[in-house]
Amino acid sequence: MRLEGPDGAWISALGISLLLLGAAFGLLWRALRGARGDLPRPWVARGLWLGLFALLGLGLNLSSLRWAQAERPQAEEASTVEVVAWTWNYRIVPRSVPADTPVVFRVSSLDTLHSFGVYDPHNRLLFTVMAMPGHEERLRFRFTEPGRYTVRCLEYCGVGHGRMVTEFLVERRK
Amino acid sequence: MARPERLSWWLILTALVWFAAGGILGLFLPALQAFLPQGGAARLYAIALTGHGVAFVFGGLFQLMVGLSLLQARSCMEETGSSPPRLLPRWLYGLLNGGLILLALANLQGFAPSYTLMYPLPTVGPARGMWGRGPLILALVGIALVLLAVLYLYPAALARTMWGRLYPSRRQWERMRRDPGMLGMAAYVGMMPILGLPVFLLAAVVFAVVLGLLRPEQLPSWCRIPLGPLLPQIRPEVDPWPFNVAFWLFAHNLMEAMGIMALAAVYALVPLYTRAPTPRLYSPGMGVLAVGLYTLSAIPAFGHHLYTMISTSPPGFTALAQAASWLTGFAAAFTAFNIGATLWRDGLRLHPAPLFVLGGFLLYLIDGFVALQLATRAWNLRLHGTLYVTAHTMTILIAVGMIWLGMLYHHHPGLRGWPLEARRGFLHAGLTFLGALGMFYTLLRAGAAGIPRRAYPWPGDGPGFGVAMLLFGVLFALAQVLFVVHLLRPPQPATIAPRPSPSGEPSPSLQQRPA
Repeated sequence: MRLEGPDGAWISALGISLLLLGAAFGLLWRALRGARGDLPRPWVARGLWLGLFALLGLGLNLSSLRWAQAERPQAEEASTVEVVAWTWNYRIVPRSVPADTPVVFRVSSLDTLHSFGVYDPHNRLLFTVMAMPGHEERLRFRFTEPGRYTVRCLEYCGVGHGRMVTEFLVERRK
Repeated sequence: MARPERLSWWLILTALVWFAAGGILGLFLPALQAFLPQGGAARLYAIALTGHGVAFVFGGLFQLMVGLSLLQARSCMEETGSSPPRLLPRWLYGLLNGGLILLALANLQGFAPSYTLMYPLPTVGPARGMWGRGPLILALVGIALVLLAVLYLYPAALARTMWGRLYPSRRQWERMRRDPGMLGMAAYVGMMPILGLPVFLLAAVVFAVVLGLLRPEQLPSWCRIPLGPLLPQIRPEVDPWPFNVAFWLFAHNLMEAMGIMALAAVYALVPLYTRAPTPRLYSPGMGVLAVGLYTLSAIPAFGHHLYTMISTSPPGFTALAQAASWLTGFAAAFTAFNIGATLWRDGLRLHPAPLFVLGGFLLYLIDGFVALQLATRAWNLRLHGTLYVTAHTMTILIAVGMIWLGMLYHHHPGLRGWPLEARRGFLHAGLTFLGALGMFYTLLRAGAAGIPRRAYPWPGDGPGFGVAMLLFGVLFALAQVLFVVHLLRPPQPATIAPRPSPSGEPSPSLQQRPA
């Protein structure tokens, strides 16, 4: 388990929730035992609480910066992959992309909302982008690990949604 | 029981019926994942998924909120000198439940686009053989009735109950400015009729096109689907981009408005159960600031539902959504401090009502961190569409539900003349909280493992997660069954319970201490 990405997300959520549970039950226990009177230094308490919250926000945003590469295409030369989705299948051309090179995915749909969700060879979700009829979404990504990458639809699209799966290859080019 | 209380009681009972239907369908889902992991019941799963969402959210949670909030708003009515509205709440009850019944009938005939509709899926469904045109039209009528009830009849009924008319007088506004409880209710009245109008109009356009009353070529260019490759005989009636912007403007803010109403209930109820001689919040000013901040920031935050439309969403739109989402978190942080300081200063009397309200608020805060993760764009691209999002959605809705159950425990003596037994209430609160927490952690772990939401079958370790969800779901459901049995029993002599208030008296004002 690597402490980044979705694994890091749920572990940090678990940690924060356990802290909150502990604090809440502690406060509840004290409150049931009786009134304590005014807070000793209310402005300090307020500042500490809000400061902690602001730190949390900073941490969440900073931790996400390394994935900011999954963004709009830039001027840098990149390979292009056309992805077309429909119920319940994909057409991906080409089916093989180079590692360590920016790849631009051009994603669209022929009927309803789908998504292009890409999982790495260890089954970790790398990114998901909407596929919408009449529109083309573009996403730029750089794969660092060669292997088979699974594609799943992550926008509910009817009865066959769970079986809308395919894959493509990432290869290290010589 | 006086007439307004009787209608509230009918709303509450009807909500419990929808909760039961939604709950049974909800248990069906993990059972299929656990015991039919090969995917042999995909159609059944889709129907149950849609029915569970609609029944729970609109039939159960929204209707419970309506019944209790109208009761709560009556405490303001004494000052207006007016009598509570009679026709409006009845029309509201009729339209809401009539629309839900039509949706249920459509659902049983196979209409299954999930409770968020996923436009253009509802109208693409017949062309792709997923459901017929008949269920689609039935569903569209049902949706229209529900929208009318949610967006217009309920705010009007709430406003008339609180203020005696559709808007507050100067005196009433001055009072609301110092009362976060009332302000939270006023937020719904002010927000939803406006924020829901775009999707209401666009849905009407879709309906008109489906019925052949309008042709897509007659629509203005901004809502006509752009030319591009589409499957034969598939042509969404309107461009899904503006529709989804309008839809999430409505749906996100409906959930936020229900959340603000729930926070208003927390502000109003918790001080009544402290040990202070007179009930008072630690800082009403901070409460008003929190409700105001929450209301204003919730509106632009809806864009976080559209993060995965990377190229179609303008960059500023996404940045604004992220910043606004974080501001709503600050509002929750203010509320947590305020309520925590109130409890620290004044202590707490043990009773199921505040336990439920505080338990729900705690769940809301625990889920809040997950919500902030999902509201951060780069995190969202790695978690969206998985069960991680379901963990957030389900938990926030259960949290709001627990807060309203606390209000039901509070209002029950005034409604029916006798209190609910406290020991059973403690058991109800504990089992509900444990079940909800178990489902939350299971979905979180499953989502981190990449399991897609609304999908059947779940890949990988899906069956294992299905078993865990089923166990915690059964625990949660058992708690509600025990509660309903207790609720519907004839009154028993109180044992460990507050002194019952005389039967036939109106509900206690939320400003009054329970006996």
